[in-house]
Amino acid sequence: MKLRIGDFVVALVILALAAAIWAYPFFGSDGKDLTVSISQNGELVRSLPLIGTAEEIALSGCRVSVSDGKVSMLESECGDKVCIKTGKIHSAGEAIICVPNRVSVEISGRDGIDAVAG
Amino acid sequence: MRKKCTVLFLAIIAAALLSSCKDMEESRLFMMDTVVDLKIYGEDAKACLSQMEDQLSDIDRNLSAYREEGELYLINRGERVSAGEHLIKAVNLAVLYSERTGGAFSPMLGRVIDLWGIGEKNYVPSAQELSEALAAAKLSDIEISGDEIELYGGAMLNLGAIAKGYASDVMKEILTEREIPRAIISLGGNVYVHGTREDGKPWNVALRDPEGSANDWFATLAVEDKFIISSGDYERYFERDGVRYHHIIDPKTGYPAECDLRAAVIVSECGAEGDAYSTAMYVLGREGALRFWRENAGFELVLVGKDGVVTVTEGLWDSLTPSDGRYTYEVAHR
Repeated sequence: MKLRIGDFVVALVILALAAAIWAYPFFGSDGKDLTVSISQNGELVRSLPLIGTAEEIALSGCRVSVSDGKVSMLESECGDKVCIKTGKIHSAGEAIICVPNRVSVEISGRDGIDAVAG
Repeated sequence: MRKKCTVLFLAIIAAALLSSCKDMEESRLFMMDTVVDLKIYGEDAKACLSQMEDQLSDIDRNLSAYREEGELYLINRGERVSAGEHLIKAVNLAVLYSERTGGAFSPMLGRVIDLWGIGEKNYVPSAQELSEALAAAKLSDIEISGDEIELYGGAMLNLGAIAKGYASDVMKEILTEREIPRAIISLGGNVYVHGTREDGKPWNVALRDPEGSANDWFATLAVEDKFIISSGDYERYFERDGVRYHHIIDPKTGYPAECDLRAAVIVSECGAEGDAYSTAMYVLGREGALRFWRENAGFELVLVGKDGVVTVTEGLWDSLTPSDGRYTYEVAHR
């Protein structure tokens, strides 16, 4: 079988697409498309854009607010209120965790930080 | 035309397949009274994750003082129990570190911890109540014979200051056995980094700022194959009449440790050791902790003082990058 120019074109298209899809998470986000992921009991409940959203999300035992590009825990029935004390988060990599309610609220993407110890 | 469309369609499928060879699995669990994050790389990641979840659930059940179906709960009720692999190992390590730190870390504080109920009932006990609880908190009140454990004199074990560190050691064993190239795990802020990042560089672990919220850090550490474990007065506490009562109990007084530190961070090769030492170093305070570090090898320290000075031991000095101008940094030499 002889390879034609068309075959090379197809191969190139495949490789270029693969590279683009692979690289998107690294270069594709410019801050405007930050995503807020809200999970309870390890299950994703809602995923919504940080910018342009004004919404309160009711979960079992607590309520999360997303507005003006910031996310906070409005109310929680937990004992320690660590989640409420976390305050408002707005940057990639920040999170609000409520252990008693098994809730995590995260803004996707991390600014070069792999983990926070403490 | 139809043929061209088919080729293009196949090309897109192939591209998606090629780019999805990411070989990374992650999981967030609520276990051991905290949040557990596991991020595992490599072909074996899925099976590794599932084995880790099983082990964590076993450790959670048997090392918790409050799980009625677990082994430690029975021991704390005065029963002689033939302990499973995890409990016996963790208890033996706890006794070892308690002796090594001169009692600054103690697994025997069950009664004292329950009396305070920090984060739950938030009670300030009387001196009388505390002295009674402390009387039942001696290391000599535990008998370990083979895998059997029994407590005397009403003593109660609490492994809260070592269980997560021990669990992270078990996670490391699984990663090593399965030849996982890289992974990062966090058990409620007790971090273990395995191997290096995908770009071959060390992992970047942020150290939480005791003055800020859970999303503020004062420095980052560039580390590989290390446990990074912190204890501080900001983690669990309550305030009453202007006094902050935090969860790190001084085994000598039964009260929250009064020292010149806000946090003690241990960077170690062993999770259980790092966990026990971070509590002990906080209790000992800056001078005591540095003396202990000079006399004992195998770990490094970052001590955040109430005076705004961060003391970094020499083995870590080059891997630490301050990210906040709030503190001044000094190096400690052997």
